[in-house]
Amino acid sequence: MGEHMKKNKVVTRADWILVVVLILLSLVSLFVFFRRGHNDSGLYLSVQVDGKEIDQLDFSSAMEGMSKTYTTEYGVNTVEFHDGKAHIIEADCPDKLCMRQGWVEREGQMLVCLPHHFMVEVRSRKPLEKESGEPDVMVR
Amino acid sequence: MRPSKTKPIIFLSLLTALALVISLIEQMFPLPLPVPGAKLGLSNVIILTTVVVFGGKAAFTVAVLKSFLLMLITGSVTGFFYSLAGSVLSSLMMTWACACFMPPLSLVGVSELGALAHNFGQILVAALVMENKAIFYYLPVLTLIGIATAFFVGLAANQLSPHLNRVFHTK
Repeated sequence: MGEHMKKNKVVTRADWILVVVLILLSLVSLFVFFRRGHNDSGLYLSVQVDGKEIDQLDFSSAMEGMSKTYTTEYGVNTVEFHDGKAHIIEADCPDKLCMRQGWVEREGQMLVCLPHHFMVEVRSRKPLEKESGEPDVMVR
Repeated sequence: MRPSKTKPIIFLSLLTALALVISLIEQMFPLPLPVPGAKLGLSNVIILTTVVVFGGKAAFTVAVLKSFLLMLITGSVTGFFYSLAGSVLSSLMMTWACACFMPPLSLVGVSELGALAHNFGQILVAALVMENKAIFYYLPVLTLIGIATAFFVGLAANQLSPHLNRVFHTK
């Protein structure tokens, strides 16, 4: 095996350039993809009153543990984010059904406070996200 | 004396079997990514060597056969599509790179390009099958891993090719 040493080395300068370029491209795309602070594929909460959107709250690490209160002519509702999910933590409507609807985190899920004409819906900023998303079960 | 037609067939069969075994062993090291069938890409050493010694068409055949046999052995039909897409794109890319980019690049560079094509093919099929573009987010991670293994794959192919060439052309 010793007698067929070609050139000095096998790996050329062009190889190294290619490797460096590929690594840089990968790192750059990593940053570009995950830039919005763990936004979990661009999900946000669309806050609506009377069917009109009045606010957007991103499901990001910045919103972790935070809450926001909305006071309208109909009443008061407070939305809180926890563990990447959202729920209605406070409302002054008589039945408080909205507070018992639990947590939402996936696209399409919503919480509704009927007396206050108040609704929050999880939406995605990625326009072409299919509704089905991932399959529930995969058999290999 | 007519050149034997059986000899290339035998060699290519052996190469296919080798690629198959490498793929099977690779499956024991699953990557922690939600891309099923994503592998280290070590079988590219066989594909690349085949490209150098036997040419692009032979390498393409080996790639297709390897994926097909892998499916028969592991019983994983979805894995077949990922493996097929990756291997085929990889063999095509490496054939092209060998022909056009070899002077500046060595087999290491060709192997890197092959790994890039391989990962892209796998992610592409995964995104199509799961109907979810978010899978592409894992392309950078997969590529980084692939770049590392491709480096050594290239070195190995570089060592392997002259030997295989010599063995094939003697007798």
